[in-house]
Amino acid sequence: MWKPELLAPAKNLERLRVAIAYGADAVYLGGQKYGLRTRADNFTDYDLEKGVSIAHQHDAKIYVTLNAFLHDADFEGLAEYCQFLESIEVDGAIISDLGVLRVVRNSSNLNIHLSTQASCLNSYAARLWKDMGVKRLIVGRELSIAEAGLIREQAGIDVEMFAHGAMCMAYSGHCTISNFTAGRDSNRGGCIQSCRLPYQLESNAKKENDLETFISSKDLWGIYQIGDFFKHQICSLKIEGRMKSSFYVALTCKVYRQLIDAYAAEALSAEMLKVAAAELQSVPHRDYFSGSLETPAGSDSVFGQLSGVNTGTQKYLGIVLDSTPQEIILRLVEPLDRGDEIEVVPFQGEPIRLKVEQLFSVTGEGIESMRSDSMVRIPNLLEHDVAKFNVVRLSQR
Amino acid sequence: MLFNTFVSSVGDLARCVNAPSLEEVLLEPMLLARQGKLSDNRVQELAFEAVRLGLRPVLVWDVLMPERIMRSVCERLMQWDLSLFGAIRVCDPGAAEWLRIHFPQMPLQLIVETGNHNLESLQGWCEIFSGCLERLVLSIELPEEKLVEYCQKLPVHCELLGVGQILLFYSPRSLLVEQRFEDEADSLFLEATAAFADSPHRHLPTLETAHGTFMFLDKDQFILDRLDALRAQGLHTVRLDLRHLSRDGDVALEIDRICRQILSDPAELRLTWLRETRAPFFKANRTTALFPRMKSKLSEYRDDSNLAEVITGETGKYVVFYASRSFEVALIKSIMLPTGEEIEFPQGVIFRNLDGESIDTFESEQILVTNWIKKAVPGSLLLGN
Repeated sequence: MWKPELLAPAKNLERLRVAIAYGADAVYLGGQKYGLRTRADNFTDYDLEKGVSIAHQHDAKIYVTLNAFLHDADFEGLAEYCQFLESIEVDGAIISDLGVLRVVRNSSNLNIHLSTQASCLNSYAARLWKDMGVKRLIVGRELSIAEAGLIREQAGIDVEMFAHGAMCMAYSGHCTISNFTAGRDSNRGGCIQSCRLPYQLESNAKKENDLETFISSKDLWGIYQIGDFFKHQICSLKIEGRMKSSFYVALTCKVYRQLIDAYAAEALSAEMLKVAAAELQSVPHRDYFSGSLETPAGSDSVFGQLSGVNTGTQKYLGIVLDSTPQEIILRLVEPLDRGDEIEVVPFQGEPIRLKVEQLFSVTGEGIESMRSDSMVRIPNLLEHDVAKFNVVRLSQR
Repeated sequence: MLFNTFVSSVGDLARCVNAPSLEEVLLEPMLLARQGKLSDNRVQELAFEAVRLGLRPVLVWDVLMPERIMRSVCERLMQWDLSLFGAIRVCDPGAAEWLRIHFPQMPLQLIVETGNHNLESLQGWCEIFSGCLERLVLSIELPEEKLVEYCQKLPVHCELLGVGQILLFYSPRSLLVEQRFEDEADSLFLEATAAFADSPHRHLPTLETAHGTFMFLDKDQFILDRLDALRAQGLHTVRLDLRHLSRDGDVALEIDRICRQILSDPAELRLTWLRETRAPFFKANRTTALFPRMKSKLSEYRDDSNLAEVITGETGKYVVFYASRSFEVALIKSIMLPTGEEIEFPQGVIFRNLDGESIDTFESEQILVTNWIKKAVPGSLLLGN
């Protein structure tokens, strides 16, 4: 049965490996220039070449974001960069600026994907972009799956949709709060996320004394629309989050991989969806909703951030950097104490629950606890099948 | 150089007739325009009246068009007599394409204020709509030097906002209703201000219409006293957007006086303008300067010379490296710190694997433990020759 591609974000090589290991069919990432995530590590040419090689070894694809809205001076080196991307066999370039599209098209044979930043929302626009050489549309997040399917049919072009992650409240590319209030160009990677800030609202008739995050959107999830993505042949389901942790990448990839595969095998059940929802609740998020995937996002799509960001039901502990049948080498992002109960999230299957009976420093010294941002060795007494790049979380207490 | 402005009443049209250098008026139907209040019939009546008065009416279609809306809007538009309008201005490329297909003779004004900050994209739009495009509405994020260049090089006329509100945010979602402003007079046009918690005195005008929610800067764009170079280089139209100063259904209040004063004493006009003014990007777009400072200082070293990265350490005890590639100890040259400082690799450092064995050749992705190296904090790179 045909399946949509599962497309995951990667901030760096570690995230790329995690995404692929947990089931992503493709990974999107940014180079050092021309993208929208200036603060992400982003891939140097060297990393990128390595990333493409790793991905292709696993039959996964790599798409590179060139989706900033460029000023004239920003074009320096773009044509050469496109030729470089083509030479290392990148599978697609994600663009939003017509000027960039023209340079990509004139300097290389890269497949061009139109970024959601371009807010392509209808089949007339889709046909226009197709005529300009676009091979795939990443349509605006304001569209339903049915609308996206209609665009695919009408325009005869592949359509990709965001299925999971944080959302702009504004039409993508149509927010310049950062530009005018902080001097940072949101459409060239400088967004300061003003939409997440609290505001005091006032009108002629009344003043709201409480601060409100009234332009902060809840996060998208599309787990209950998996069948619709199939029905309307959305070619790729995209997970947002190039700034997010390996834990997030791992969990989201694992969940959507399971759901896509289960639907294709006609085995998707209510119980499976319940487990999927619980897993996604375990990572930090801003309350989930289904965006506009079925009906246009309404006024209930605002995330009341001041009542507290949802940090997830389980805390990310770290990532396995090496393992042998006898021990697990763990890089910690949170402190760990002897006696803690942890869960290793395998690439497939149920989490492996372990109690940390013994704890060693990286040099083999027995210890009682270890601080965050460090490494520990944990004996794998029951010889669980733990693999490099498994993510690990603290068990719910 | 000509002026244009938005109108919503016969009174507005009368003032426009008396405004020097103003030949074009912008009509906003509720159906098509973000801030539109005019019914289908009213907008066509006003267009007819504008023509009668010798003005050129331009239909504003600046909402973005999700497929479901596009279909119904286009069906309704087919019932309109679009020949009443001198041109149609659109923002959504799909709307422009629909017009090109169904009304190929209709002059098109394309709003390219969002993005499109480069000549290559602007030329691209000119080529795509070459048969019908009469004007590009350029972004106020472009500096004067670039605006001058584009006016000279582009094959169509250009327009720029001369005075008016600066749009910061356009969402299709209804965001003020949720904040309990729904009981105010006109539920299809809610107005409020929003102030950042840490800047409570900056009230950003916020508007909700049938097409979504819009937020504006608290100061007006104003370049009417700085138009000489652009005028000399052929800027065709300067838009005077007075909609936020509207009263009793009129949106072009005092447009005749304003146009006269732009031509006679624009500096005085700035001094007496009703709101604070600014033109933050007109001299230079300084947002560009920030990006090099946001980049990691180590990016340029993440290449073949990067042997390993420090991932953790314990002060006085050890440092842990993660090998980026296979290498030999003899290749090691220095350590580059996240601050950009390069330090010599100290003498006497011994590399061990996780079994504690001393080693001097390393595999890619191998975890390497050394004795403590001062300053070698996580993120530092081990560089080779």
